[in-house]
Amino acid sequence: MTPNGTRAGKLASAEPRKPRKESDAGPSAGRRPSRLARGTGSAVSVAWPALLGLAVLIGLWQLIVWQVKADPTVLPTPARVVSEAWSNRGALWQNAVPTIEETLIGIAAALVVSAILASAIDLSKTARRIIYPLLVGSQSIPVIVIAPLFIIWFGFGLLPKILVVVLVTFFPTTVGLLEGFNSTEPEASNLIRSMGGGRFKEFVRLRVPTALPFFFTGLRVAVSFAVLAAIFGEWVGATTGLGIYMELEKNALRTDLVFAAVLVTALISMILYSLTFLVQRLTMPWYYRSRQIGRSSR
Amino acid sequence: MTSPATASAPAAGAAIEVTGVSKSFRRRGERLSVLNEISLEAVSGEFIAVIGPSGCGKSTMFNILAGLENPDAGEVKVNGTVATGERRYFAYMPQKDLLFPWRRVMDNATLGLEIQGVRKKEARARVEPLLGTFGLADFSRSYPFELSGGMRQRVALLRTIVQGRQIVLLDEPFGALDYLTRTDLQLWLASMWEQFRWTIVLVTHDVPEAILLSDRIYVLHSRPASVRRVVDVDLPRPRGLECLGTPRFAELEELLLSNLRRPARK
Repeated sequence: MTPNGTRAGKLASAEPRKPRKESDAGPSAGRRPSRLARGTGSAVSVAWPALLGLAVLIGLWQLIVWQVKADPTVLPTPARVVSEAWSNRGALWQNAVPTIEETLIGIAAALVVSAILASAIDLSKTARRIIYPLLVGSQSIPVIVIAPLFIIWFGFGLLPKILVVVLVTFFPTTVGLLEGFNSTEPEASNLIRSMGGGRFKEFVRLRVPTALPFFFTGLRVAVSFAVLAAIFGEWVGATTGLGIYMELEKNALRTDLVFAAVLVTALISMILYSLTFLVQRLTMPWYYRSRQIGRSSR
Repeated sequence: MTSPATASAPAAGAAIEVTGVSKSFRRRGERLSVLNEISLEAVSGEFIAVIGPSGCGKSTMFNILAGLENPDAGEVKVNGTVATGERRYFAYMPQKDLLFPWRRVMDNATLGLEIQGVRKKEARARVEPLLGTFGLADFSRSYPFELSGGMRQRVALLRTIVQGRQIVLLDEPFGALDYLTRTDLQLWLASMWEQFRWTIVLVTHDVPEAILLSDRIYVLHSRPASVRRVVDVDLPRPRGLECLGTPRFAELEELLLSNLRRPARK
């Protein structure tokens, strides 16, 4: 067991820019979750309860397997999953690389697409009328149906998987940007106009920065779907990748390795998700600092 | 003309002349007259105030002055040139400070110049000497959320002034502040104006503010807004805190309030 003092020390050192000293010195239990809810906590303080929850789940899983004496091809123990993952780390890594590649390239392409679409929709009424319905319509395309068609059209390489990722992820970021543009204060637009600025200057200097927080919300939604989309793209047909690896190991009754691949998938997702916070922090330093101070001083 | 800041003060000789400006809107087929034959004027270096009950069409008048809307009739002249619908003569300070949270104080102050196409470096060089005068010397690299309400308003005024426009429009600039901060800023603005003599049109419904700051006050009716009365403020300058307690101040305040409160008659 970690003594209370050490834990408090960890928390404090992980947050070097704590705005002000709280008057009550002791690490009260009530304060920690509220800080987590604000999203200002560091990786350590955020991960702490999650790890605890995960440990409980894994413990339960292990107990259940022991209790029902499950066949490892039906339900392996978590210990077995981890040890098999480790001994097959080479294969897992080899298959993770193309999945990560497809995910990252897909997200990057989706960002370009959504930046272009959202800007066009925001800047031109005609573009809005043309693009908006198509945009919404695109989301009713069933990926289950379109992904195999991509394989037929574009082969077994990276491209069809990247397209699936783009199809799934460009929508949340586009909607985030559009919502963000629309949240611009009309008075601020008037101010720019009174200074002699036209539509374009208003867009670059006001609407884009206003949209950033909304964009990052959209990006987080997109990222959490992106890895799954890549895996689905592989699952319908690929030579390498975690998706096809899971499919093959399932057919070989290596349930433990299927779980191992799921574990790797979850890790990739979580890392990407955390990265969005890092990028947001770097892009919008004012946003975090104002939220740290804002609550107490206003 | 010895101060380093005079370069960014409006050019000498600027004067504004508004004659017979009217404006109406259509709402559900009905014509709603908002401004009716508004006329006012200010010579260069004059501080005039427009007061009226809330909802009397002040912001429409402001948008017309700032060139954001066109009047149905009448015209706005600056220095004898027709300026109706033109945006280059007026610098506009809105009710909310509207500082951009992602820009530091310096970059908020240079916004207007940047929009005008002035290069960043030069814009900064123009703002730099004014930071001290505006009490912002140590805050050039601060973000707006780190500032008090009064300081934010000073940044907003600085952003307005450095644009170097001929006339400054202030739309209830201190309306959102608490009483003490507001009074501080009013006194500060009075002293700033005495130093720089900008031509200012102030729109407010704060009667003491109008008296303290301006040379002449236009009292508006509401719906449609028209000038009911013009009051010259003959209090000596410079005006400080002590001015608020003088009998003449109280007289003017009563005169203005009675004019504002009396229902419009034909």
